[in-house]
Amino acid sequence: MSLMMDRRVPRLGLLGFAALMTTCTAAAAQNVTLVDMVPNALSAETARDAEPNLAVNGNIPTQIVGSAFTPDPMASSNLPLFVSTDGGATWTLSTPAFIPGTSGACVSVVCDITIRFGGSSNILYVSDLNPIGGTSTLDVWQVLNPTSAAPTITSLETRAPSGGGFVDQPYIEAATQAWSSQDVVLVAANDLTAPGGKTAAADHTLSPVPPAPAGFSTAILEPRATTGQDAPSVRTASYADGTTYAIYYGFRPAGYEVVVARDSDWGASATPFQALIDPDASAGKKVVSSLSMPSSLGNQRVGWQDAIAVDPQDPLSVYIAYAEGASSATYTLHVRHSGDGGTTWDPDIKTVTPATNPGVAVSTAGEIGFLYQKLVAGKWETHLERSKTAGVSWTDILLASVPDSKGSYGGSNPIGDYTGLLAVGKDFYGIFSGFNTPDTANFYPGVSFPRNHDFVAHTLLDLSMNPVAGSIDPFFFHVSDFTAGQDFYVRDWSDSPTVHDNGQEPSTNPYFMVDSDVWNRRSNTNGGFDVVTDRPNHEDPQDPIDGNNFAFVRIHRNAVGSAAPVTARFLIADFGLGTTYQDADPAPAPVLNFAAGDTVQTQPDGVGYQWALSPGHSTHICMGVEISAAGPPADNYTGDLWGHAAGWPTTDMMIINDNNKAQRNMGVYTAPHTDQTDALTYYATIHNAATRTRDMVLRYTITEAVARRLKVSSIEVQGGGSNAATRETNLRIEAPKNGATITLKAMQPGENRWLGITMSTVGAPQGALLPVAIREMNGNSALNGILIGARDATLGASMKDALAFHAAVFRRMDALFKTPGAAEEAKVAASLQRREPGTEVYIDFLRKAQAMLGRQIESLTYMAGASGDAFGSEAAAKRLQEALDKGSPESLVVAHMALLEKLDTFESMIDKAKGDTADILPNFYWQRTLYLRAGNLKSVGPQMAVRTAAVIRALESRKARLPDYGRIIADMQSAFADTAKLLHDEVLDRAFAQMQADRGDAQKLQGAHRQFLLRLSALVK
Amino acid sequence: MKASRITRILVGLSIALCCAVPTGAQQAISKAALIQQSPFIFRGTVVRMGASNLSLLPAAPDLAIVHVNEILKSPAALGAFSGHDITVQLPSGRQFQQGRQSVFYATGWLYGESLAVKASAAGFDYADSASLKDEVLRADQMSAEAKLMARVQSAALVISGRVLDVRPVAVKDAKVSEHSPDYWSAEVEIGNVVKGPGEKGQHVAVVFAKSTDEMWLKAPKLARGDVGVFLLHVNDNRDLGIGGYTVLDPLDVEPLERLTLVQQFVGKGR
Repeated sequence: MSLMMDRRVPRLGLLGFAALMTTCTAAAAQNVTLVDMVPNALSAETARDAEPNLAVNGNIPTQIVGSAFTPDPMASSNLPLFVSTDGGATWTLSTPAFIPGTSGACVSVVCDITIRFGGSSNILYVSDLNPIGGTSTLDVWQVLNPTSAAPTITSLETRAPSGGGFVDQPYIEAATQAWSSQDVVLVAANDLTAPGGKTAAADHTLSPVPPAPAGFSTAILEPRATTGQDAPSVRTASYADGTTYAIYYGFRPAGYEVVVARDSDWGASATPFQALIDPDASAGKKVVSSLSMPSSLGNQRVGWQDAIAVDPQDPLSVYIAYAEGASSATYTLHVRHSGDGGTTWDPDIKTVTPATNPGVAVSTAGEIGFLYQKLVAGKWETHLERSKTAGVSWTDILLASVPDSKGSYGGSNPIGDYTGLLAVGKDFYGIFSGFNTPDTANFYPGVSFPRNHDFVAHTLLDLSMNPVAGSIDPFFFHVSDFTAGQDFYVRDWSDSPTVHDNGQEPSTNPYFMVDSDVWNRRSNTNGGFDVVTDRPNHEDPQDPIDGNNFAFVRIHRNAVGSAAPVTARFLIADFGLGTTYQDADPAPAPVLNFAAGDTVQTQPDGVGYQWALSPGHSTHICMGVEISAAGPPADNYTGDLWGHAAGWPTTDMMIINDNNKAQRNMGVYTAPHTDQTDALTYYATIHNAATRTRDMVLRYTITEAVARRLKVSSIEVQGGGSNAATRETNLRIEAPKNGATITLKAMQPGENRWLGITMSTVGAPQGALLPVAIREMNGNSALNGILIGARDATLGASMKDALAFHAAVFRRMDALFKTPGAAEEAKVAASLQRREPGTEVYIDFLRKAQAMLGRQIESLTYMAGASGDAFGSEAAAKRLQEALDKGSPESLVVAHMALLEKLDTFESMIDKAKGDTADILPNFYWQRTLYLRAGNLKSVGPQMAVRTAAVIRALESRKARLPDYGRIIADMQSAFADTAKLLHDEVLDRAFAQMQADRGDAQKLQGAHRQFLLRLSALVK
Repeated sequence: MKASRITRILVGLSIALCCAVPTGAQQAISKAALIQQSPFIFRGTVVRMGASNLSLLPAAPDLAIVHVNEILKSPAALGAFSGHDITVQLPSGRQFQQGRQSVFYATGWLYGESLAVKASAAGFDYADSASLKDEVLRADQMSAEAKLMARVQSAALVISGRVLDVRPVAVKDAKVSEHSPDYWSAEVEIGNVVKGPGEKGQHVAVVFAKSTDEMWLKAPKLARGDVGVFLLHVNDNRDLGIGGYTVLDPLDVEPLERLTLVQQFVGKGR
């Protein structure tokens, strides 16, 4: 709910907070929920509810759990957890039974409780210190149904003290691996049981399933000598691909040292947290050294407070907050950023003095959140500052300004050693502890106190309205620029009218790329939605000979709101992984107008977005959509797919993280219904959209149910032949098992290879879709994926689809290579397809097409040069001939489709060898990177990097377009010439000359430009 | 209250309780245990069967909304629920009716816009409130004394005495943690030896945790001039590398006026 306009707020309090808000820069509308979490039933409680932590279920963000040093009100040994099922508006203290220790001297059942939900599993994970007999045992728990009245708690790990030490200040992180839906759990801690004084550590498991130890093992982060140990506060932050960072303070003779370590696989790689090497040759980058620490700040002890967060859009973009100071007065929080995975660190983007308990988080929109508690004139001010400009400007929200009072608590740690801050989607959720005087002047306007209180008399009251002494309470907050009525989204998946994507960020379904609410139609009718699955009725795009295509989108919001126009931009890319998106059409993007009462809008019949495949383009494509809403908040948008590839490493998790984007990456071949079809190989493009050479790891998955009906006999990879380093990777896996991986080694920037899946159907029910998934992996996480499958259909439907494909393949042959007779062949096939021929007519057509097919194979093989008949078209043609001679109609249509698949892919390979206009913008990204790091190009390097950045901005904003490409290259001619001159390289000279020659043909120019950059990448130092 | 009346009440309660209870003295022991295990005991009237007044807790047949007529035992923070309706998970095996008054023996469950408790037993008591409260008081006193007795019995040396001085303890290879106990040693002059080796007037070193971290806040803190009864333990905290006598449990330092009680627990006094 929005609390900004609460008119009960006393004037002075409002003025005080208003004064602070004036420091905001261009403050967007913000919705702040701030709640004292102590429920009404505990109105009389005076416990010290400090050192809080928070978990938000990303799958169901209304489910939130909080923890603090809150004792069980009945003094039992149960685990006290604050739970909310309404997004934090109201809270219940739940006390589920678990396996407690004997609390000894501890003030609560267990200490140091931290909590996290798995990414999409709905499971809560808890770590704590169980003060058994006065010593501390590390516990990790799995909690099922945590926000219900009957949660189930099971032990995952227990580590008792040993050697005079214990595992101190455990701090938990959890996520769900995208490809397997399996959770991962990390527990960063100061492992005082570790030998040699190297104590910064992280316990981790890729399988957090009971019984204990649930796969947990310990990674020691600290490689350097210490003065006996590291600091208590060790924190981790993970990116969805498994990239995991850790921050810790090393104790050195010269003072304390902040170190950041990195791992590529959730801490579980073969040499964990060794991925980031410092110039001193040890693992872990030393960010800052020789620091001092005071012991207290006001009534609160302090020392070594830190936090870390990784940008959900970029695994190399990481933020840290750390504390240092020689005295209480100079105890300073620093926020710093690294854009290269921790290798180098920018100067401070924020400092606050004197302050403690930092939290950092980055939203899916790239907004940084920085939470801290600052001591000002005897009051603890709790601030959430946010920056959408990478720290250049900040918007400050003063959540609380409360007395630095201990109440009846006699300890040294009244508010606790940390707060909690999370980014879930575009929103920030957090928790902090503070003194609970019910004075609205102490809090952000609209603060809610469910416990009995008198805001006028500033008095807490019990249930009998007797005064209650003040104490430390946990406070929950939620900050969003969007109400549910402002947050428009496109569903990434739908299984039924009631089970579907609700706009979660990141998306919670591993099949986020196949059943989305963007689809194509071959006529200007939206086709409605399947009554069972609630999925749109997609049609593969048709050849331009047959007519235009029409793109449709269904847009939702989860609550009614203001009337709003929502723009939907449609994009297409080659079918495959890493392929670059382009606008589907230059025409203006359509606008869907939401009335105030609308929660869903679909383009009606007649207003689909008309687009046409270019004549040379395959009909196998991926389709994307990105929506943007006008009006505040205008930045309801996280960037642009245009000129980028979904998945690693360009837009990376953009589609998964941004509910404004959706894509449909599904290739379906229509198999004739029969007991068992012959095999067919379906191809997808695998494209390296990165600006560096890299390996691409693909994982094949097939469900058991599909495997019973779809026989996949092999997976093969074609291409890479001109790259000597990768010839051995022309792979073929026979009878692949579910989970098989293929590594395409040393993929050069912009390089294409082709993945073929050979499959046949076995008695599939008519109409059934039998898909297999190919996902691009980074570690154990899927970054993008495609579905390839067969759909069983009638023989007539299969013949019709084969004829349409035949027309498309020959239409491309004509458009791309001007092959004599190809246009006529396409027309005949298209005409026949429209007439829905019988079997005899179809067979007659194929007999007549034999000669033309043969000539096409010869032509393509000739054009391919050294790589020859890479896809085995000759053999496919022979098989078609055999089917014509003696095969069944079903075998004939499969043989026909199999040959067409090969020819279509062959055409793509030869065409893309010339260049690819979709890769013009990626070329400039690559160019900027090369010139930025070129130390041997004198002043040309930085100048060219700046000029290239300007071109990128022009292209990204669509101020420059495809026809401008030649002029842009011409404008840079002298700089390219200077580059060639400085490097004295014949290959580079030839590439430069070719660029000059091809300036009039955007496709060829892109190819020449790429060759220039490829050579340049080998020469720059 | 006369003993015969207490006996009648206890017998009556035991019979009325829905949990099965044997006869005679065992009844009273079981009742006492039930009281000790029930932090929330109240007399209440069933308002509505099968219902809940917490949003987190769906209505169910084993639940009832119960009006709290009188609280007989409660933590301080929940003492004001008299006159309010709460949700009770009823003990199995017994029929409850709307409008019927019972004494509920409950543990905590959920604390939200209202309170939900789990009743392990309930009885249709006819005793007056004063009698029930007295019974609760005695049972809790027995429980507290049992804990102290256990602590006395596990102690290696039990003395009364006076703290002469305190000083930090150097712990070999001590690790820095926010939960570090910050061990100090108190020099205690023995007044009386209740258990174990020692003589009056002898000085003994006693280690205590000076830290006010949450892990150690309830541990006894000693200062020069303190007097009391000290239940000294050895190997009580073996994992943190200290030896000698320690007082780390909140019960390890008792006021001097409890000396007689402690002596009774040991079974002899000197």
